[in-house]
Amino acid sequence: MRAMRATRRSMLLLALALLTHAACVGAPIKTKQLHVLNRIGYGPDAWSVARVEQLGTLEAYIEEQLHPELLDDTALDAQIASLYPVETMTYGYSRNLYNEYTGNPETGPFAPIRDATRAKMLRAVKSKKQLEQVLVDFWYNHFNVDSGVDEARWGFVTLQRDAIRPNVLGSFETMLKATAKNPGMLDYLDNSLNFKEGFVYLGATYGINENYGRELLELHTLGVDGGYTQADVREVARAFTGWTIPAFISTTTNGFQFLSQAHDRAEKNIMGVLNLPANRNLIDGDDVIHFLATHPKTAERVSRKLCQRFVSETPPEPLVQAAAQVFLATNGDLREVMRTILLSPDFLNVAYFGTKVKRPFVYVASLARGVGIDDDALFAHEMDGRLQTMGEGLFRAGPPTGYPDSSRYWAGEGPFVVGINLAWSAMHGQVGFNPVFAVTATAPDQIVEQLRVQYLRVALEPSTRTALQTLVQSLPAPAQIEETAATLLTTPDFLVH
Amino acid sequence: MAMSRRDFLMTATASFGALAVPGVLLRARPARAAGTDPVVVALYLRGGADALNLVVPHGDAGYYAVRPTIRVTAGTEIDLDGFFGFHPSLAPLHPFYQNGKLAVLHACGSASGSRSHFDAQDFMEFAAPDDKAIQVGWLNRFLTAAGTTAPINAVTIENQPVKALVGPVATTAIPALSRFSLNGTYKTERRQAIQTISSATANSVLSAMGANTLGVLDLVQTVNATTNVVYPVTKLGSSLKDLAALIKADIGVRVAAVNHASWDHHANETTALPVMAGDLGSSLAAFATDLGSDLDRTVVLVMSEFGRRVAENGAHGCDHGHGGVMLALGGAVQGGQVLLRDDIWPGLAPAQLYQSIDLAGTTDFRDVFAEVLDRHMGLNDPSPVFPNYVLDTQRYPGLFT
Repeated sequence: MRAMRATRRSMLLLALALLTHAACVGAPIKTKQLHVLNRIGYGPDAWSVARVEQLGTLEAYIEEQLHPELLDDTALDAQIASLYPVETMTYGYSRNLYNEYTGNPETGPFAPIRDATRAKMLRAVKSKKQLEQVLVDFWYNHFNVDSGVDEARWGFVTLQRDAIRPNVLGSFETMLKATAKNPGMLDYLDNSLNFKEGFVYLGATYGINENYGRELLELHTLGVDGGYTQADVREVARAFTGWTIPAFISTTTNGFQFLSQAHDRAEKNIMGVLNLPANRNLIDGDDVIHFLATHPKTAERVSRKLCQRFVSETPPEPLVQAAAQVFLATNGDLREVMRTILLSPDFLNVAYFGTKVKRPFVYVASLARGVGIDDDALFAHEMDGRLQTMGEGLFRAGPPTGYPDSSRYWAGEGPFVVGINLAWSAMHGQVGFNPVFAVTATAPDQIVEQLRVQYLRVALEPSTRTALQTLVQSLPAPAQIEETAATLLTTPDFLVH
Repeated sequence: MAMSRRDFLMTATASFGALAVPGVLLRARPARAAGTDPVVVALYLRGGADALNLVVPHGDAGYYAVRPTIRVTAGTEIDLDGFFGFHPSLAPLHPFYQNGKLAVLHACGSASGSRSHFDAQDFMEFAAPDDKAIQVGWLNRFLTAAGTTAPINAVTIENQPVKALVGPVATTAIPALSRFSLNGTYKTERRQAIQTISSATANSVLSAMGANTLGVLDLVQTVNATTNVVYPVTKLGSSLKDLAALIKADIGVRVAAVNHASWDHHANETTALPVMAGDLGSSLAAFATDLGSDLDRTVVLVMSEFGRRVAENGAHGCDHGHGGVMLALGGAVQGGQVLLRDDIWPGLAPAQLYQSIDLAGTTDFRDVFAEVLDRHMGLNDPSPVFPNYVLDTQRYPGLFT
């Protein structure tokens, strides 16, 4: 039904499409522009292409993206608040609301995961704050919490919204401290049960639990080669004893409690550098966070990961070091680190264009921005499952490393088959997509050319062009446009960014 | 001093077969009939499975001394040999142990002391402890050594290949057989276009992905995915169900990998572990039953990155440790025994522990891998699979005659 409607609409709206849609969405854009829109966002859409033109330079567009507070997403925020209210709730409120198994996946404990996934999908497709969305995804993976685990089932929402999103272009230390106090993190990495030896809590006896301390050092800050020992892991864990989740959850709580009687008050020494005197409380953990957040190893590791995401999986070492120096000089001001990376000549070095295979979330979002959607809720609902079958279920990465930032990893048969089928569904107007074809030609080479201009925008590999023309010729006329467009969006030309 | 289990049990050491004849590629054999190529399955328990609670050393009083709340209650384990016993939730595997198709390898470990999940998993899957420069999986190096190159020869039942399989030889990742097909009326025409485009692209990662995907799509269409064997309705159950169908269809699968997450029991282990172990036991038993006569050419190696801390922690779990346990299941496995290096249990008394806190890993996992590649997969010289490691058949644990 929807496939038929899309085809008919494509004819009815042809004049309009040629005047407006094709004029901006389908306008050929310079390769550098496409690269910027692909890397600091989820690909071009009508607004972003027009905005680059309006601002005049790519540098101005990048600068604007570095200040998301200046961009207006009011309508999108309202739509998401209305469709997915969990996005607006405190930890305590959502925990009390969703804690009961209802037999209905839309209202029970897995509802927050579904709704937050849908909200994230819509933000990637519709937000003007494209860089912020990419960075929220980056940092969520850095501080990954598997949303399927106990308190993380609601805590992950506030991890993303309250700990990560406000700080992705702010202070790394502020973000790190907020993640340390997040109930999802406290449960997922077991710090909620990290108490001084012999502490009796709710009738059971507890002691030191190393899990959070180890991942804080290995994954959140210094890195596995950061120069710490098993003894340091223990000392860090002791510093965080008593950082836990309240035993009784009110609807207003943010889910953090410092249980001072569970804190190990003996002296601690970390890496022979940071000494924490005896008889202190919460400040032990705060001091460790400050020490780690301003450590040169952390600066280098965070900078390298950002360069790998935005520039190249094997980034130029001078750029990594330059970003790390800015990190140290600014006490971890992530806006300045990002500005250093994005305004460097390396970011616009043509040698890095199209060298990353799109991960599934990037592929799906860029497909939606390119093709267009007209049933946001249906689209977001359907993509939750698609992303899971492609191996990137949002908020569902099991290990604390999050999903890998690796082209080889994502270039798999499983995701590719799902992607081929999804592009086909999209071009047939299914699952919330709304293709509006601006094709007027009937000759095979012109059909391919018009689809290229509308959906790919930059030059096709000649071999791709020839194969698509052959495809057009092998199809009956009524099927030519949809089938060829679906195939175009599964070619290597569209699978990379 | 390490306690000798030989003294305790009076069992004979495992006998070793003839030394491998030096040579290249696969050992010369009579031409195999269809359905007789050997298969190795790497089943990875992600997160660091608690070896001491999966295969309990109930003959060692030290076990009970340091695990007051998370121990398997004495007498509830399923005794294997008077000293070790299965966790009760592994009951479905006991018949395979009894009929000699399942062996246990205890106190297995890595030459690396890393207690990082990610490093320890990498070191094991790349079979290169402490060497981060090596990023090719041990099973991919096996494919190279065996001259085996068709993508269907090596399959991960996941969206992406596990690290044990990554490397220069193309492998295949199939998340689920039921979803592995193209939609649409004109899928033949689109398939042709995708094939032409993929084969022409300069992006080698994507051209390999395209060729693999289409080749495997064609092969998978021939597989009968139905079975009368009942598997648990879990991710592991469905993964092993699909893998059994692929092996039985005899389309060329030689190496396969399956994941089972997540075994990271830092807290409340007695709630979580029985569920995990039950899933493992039931899924693996169903797989072995489903394979039927194909079990004779298949060996499943169950492994994890490390065992856990011997003493329980304050949260009724246990933290990352060192020595662990492996299982080997297959028709050709000399099962019905718990294999230990030199038949000695390293022991759980404080002075016997690795770094004073963890079970020692006396059987190097590389010796287990090497014996499977040599004695089961027929690789004459497994040395190239294990960089910077001198193999010695005398160190093989004794899984095969």
